[in-house]
Amino acid sequence: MAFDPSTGQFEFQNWDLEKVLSDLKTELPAEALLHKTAQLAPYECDGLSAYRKIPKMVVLPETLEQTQFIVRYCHHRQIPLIARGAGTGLSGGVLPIEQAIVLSLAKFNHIKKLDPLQRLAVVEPGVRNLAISEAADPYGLYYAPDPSSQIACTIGGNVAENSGGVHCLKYGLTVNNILGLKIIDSEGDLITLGGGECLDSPGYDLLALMNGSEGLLGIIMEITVRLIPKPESAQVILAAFDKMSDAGRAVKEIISSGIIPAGLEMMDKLAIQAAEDFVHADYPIAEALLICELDGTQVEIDQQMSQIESLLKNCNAHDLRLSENEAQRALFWAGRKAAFPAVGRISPDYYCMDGTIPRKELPDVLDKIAEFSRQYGLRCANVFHAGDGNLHPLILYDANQEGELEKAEQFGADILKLCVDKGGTITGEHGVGVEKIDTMCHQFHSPELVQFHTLKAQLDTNGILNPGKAIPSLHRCAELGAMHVHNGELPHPEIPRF
Amino acid sequence: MSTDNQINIVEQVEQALKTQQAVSIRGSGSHDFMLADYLENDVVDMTSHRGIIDYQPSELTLKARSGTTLKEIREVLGNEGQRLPTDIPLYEDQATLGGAIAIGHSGSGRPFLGAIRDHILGVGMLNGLGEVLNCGGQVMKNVAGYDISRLLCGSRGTLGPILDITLKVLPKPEHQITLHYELEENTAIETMNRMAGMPLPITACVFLDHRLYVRLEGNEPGLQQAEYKLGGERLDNPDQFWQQVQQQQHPFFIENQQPLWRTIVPTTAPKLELENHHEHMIDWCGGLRWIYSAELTQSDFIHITNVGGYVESFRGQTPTAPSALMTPLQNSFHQKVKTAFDPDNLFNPVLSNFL
Repeated sequence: MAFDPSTGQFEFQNWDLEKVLSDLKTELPAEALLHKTAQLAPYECDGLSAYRKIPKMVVLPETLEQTQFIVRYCHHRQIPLIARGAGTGLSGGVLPIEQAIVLSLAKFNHIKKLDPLQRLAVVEPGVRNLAISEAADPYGLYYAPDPSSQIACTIGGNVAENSGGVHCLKYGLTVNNILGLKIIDSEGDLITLGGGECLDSPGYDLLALMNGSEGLLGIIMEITVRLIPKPESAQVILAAFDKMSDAGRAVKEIISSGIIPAGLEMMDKLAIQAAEDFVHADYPIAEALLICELDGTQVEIDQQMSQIESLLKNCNAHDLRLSENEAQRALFWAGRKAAFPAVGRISPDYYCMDGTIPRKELPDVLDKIAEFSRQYGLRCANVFHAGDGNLHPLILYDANQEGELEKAEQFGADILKLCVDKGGTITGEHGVGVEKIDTMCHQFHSPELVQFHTLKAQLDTNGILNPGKAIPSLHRCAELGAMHVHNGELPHPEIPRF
Repeated sequence: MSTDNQINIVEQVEQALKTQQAVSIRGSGSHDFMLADYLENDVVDMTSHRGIIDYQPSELTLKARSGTTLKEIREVLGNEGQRLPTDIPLYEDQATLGGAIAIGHSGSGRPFLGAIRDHILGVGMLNGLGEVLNCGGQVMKNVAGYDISRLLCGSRGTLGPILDITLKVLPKPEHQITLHYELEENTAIETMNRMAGMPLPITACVFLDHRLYVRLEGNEPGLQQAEYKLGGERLDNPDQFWQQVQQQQHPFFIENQQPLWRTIVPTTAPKLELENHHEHMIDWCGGLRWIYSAELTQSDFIHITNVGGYVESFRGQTPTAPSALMTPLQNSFHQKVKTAFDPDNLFNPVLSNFL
C-alpha cells in the first residue's frame, strides 16, 4: 500500500520517465509534458523558496478530459500528483516530492460565467483572484477575499489554501465566499460539491471540507464564487501609539464598540520604519501603528469614524490621520501592503510567520516574541491583521551566515507553539504545506491526526494527491518529541519508541 | 444552567461500539417532525450536555456545549449588544445549538450575513471510535487541518455527536428598518436581486402575499440614506415580523395544514410554474421558496430541477432522502466521509443510509 492511514506514512515506487511520457502522449500533446531540467526549474518551489526540489515531470493539460486522464493514470500507477496554481503559496504546499508529477492548472484561466443579477461568477481554477474583481467591476461588484498576492495568485489555489486577506474580518475567508466547486476526485471522476448557484445543498458541507484541504482531497476544476456590491465609499484612519499595549487595547475597544472595520491592521516600529523608508506612505514613526478602514455609505462612515476617533484618543493614540481621498487611502495602504518587501530591504532574508491568537492575548504574545528575539539574537518585525488576531512576524536573518536559517526556523516554531498555547493556531491563512508540518504536531493530538489520515484514505485510496503535505505522519510527530503530554498520557501510545 | 455530561456521552458511545448496537444522537427534538421516524431506540441525549463555556464579547466568540439552548445563547449575547449570526431558525425554546448545526438550516439572513456554517470556528466532537476530536479553534482565522467543524453542518448526527461549538458572533446593529412594496411575484424577484447588488445594508428579502419585505440594518444616517434611495413604506413593528418568520410563527406557517416543501433554487429563478396553484413564500432573496402542497407532481419536480434547484419535503410528508437529491458520485463521496468518521455505522444508521 502506498499510504497507511493509521500512521500517515506513504511510500511510492520509482517510475520510468520514458514509459510515462509515452503513455501520457496518447491523450496529451507533447508540449503539455515538461521533463527537461530547464523547463522544470520554475516548478521547483512556490513562494516559500527556502524549500526547493526539481520535479521529475510537469503536465499542463488544457481540457478537463486530459486532466481526468492524468489523474486516472496516476491513480492506477500509484504516482503522486501535485496540483499547482500560480505557485504563490507561502507554505511549500506545492513543493515537489520524490517521484511526483506536478499538475499545473495554469491553462484553465477562463471566467465561464458572470451573472451580475445573481451576483456570482463561475470560473476556472487558473483565473487570478484580482481578475475576478476586475471582470465584476463594471457591475459595481467584486470578489471580497484579497490575499496580498491577489494580482498573481489564482482562485484554485485560494480555495486549496482557504486564503484570507486584509478584509477577512468583515467579509470572511475564501470558504465564506465560495458557493460551489467541481472537483476531480483521486480516481478521475468529476464531482459537483456545494450548491453552485443555490445557497444550500443536501448532505454534509463538503464544500467546506475542500476549502483549505491543500490539494490532498481532490483537484479543483471549477469554482462558483459569490460577488458582493462594492461599497460606495471607504476611508482609512492611521493612529500612532507609544506603547504596543495601548494599540492592543484600541483594537479591543473598536471591536467591542460594535463596529466591524473592513480592515484593522497593526505594525510595530521596525516594520513602520522599513515601510516608510521604502514607500513614503506618510506614516508617523512610533512604537505601533494602527490602520483602520471603514467602508459603507459615506454617511455611515462619517458617524462610525467619529466614534473610532474618540476611542483611539482614549487609548492614547496620537498623530491621527484620516484619508481625505482615494489617492491618500491607497497611499496609507501602500505602506502596509509593501511591508514584506520593505523588510526584505533591511535584511538579506526574512522568514514570514502566520499564527493566529485570540485578540486579547496580543500584548502578551508580542512581549514573548520580543523575548525570543533577544534569545535567538535575530530581529523580528511585526505586521498583523489585528482585527482577527492573525500575526505575521517577520524574522530577519542571513542565510549566508552558517546556522542562521535553522535559528530563524526554531524562532518561528517557538512563536507558533506560543500561538497554540494561547488558544490560537499555527496558521491563519498561509496553510501548513511542508513548512508547518512539524508544528501541526503541537496543535493536534493523535486522534485528530488519525481522523484526518482516515478521511484522506477514504477519499484517496492510493494516497496520490499531494502526499506528505498539510497533515504530519504520526511517526514524524513522535520522532520530533515535540508533542504535548495530554492529561499525563504520552502522545501516540500506538507508536513504538526506542 | 450548565452541566458537563461528556463522560456519560463518551461512555454511551463506547458501549455502542462494544455491543455494536446503533444509537441515535438527539437534541431537543425540535426537528422531530422531520426526523423522528428514523431514530434508533437507543438515544444519546445531548440536551443534558449544556452551558456556555466561554464568552468573550471583545473577541466576538462564544463557546458552548452542544445542548445549550439557542434561547439562552441569544439572551447572553443580547446582554452584551451582540447576537447570533444569520437568524438561525428557532422553532421552540428548547432548540439546541448542536441541533441547529446538525440540521444546518439558515434563516433569512443567509444571502447577506452568511449561513450558520460561516460562523463556526471550531467544534469538539466524538467519532465512531469513541474518540474526542477537537477541530478548528477559537480564533477567526485558522487553516490548520481539514475543516471538520463546518463539514458537520447538515450531518444530522451521522458523523458523531457534536460536544461543543465555538461560534463567531456579531454585534447587534444599532437600528433596523423594514421597507415593503406591493409587487407582482416576478417583479419582486428581480427587484430583490437588483437591490442586493446595491451597496446598501440589506440583510434580508422576503416575498409573501404580493408584498416584498426588505430588511436593512445599520446606523441611523446609513438607513435614512438607503430608505431615500429605495423608497417603499416602512413596516410597523419589523422585529415582530422577522421573529415570526424565524420561528415559523408567522400566519403563513401556522394557518395552512398542508405539507410544507423546502425548495432551494438560484435566487433569480422566476416564479415557479407548478401544475397547480400553491400558497408559497420566498425567502433568501429568492433562493428559498416555501411551498404548501398536498402533492407535487412529477412535472413540478422536473421544473424545479430545470431551473437549477431541488425540493425536499419539510413537514407533513415522508422526509426526502438527501441521497435522492444527489448524483451517485456525490452519494459515494458522502458515504466515504461517513465511513471515515463512523466505520461501524453506529450513529443514526437509518439516516445515514439516506445519504
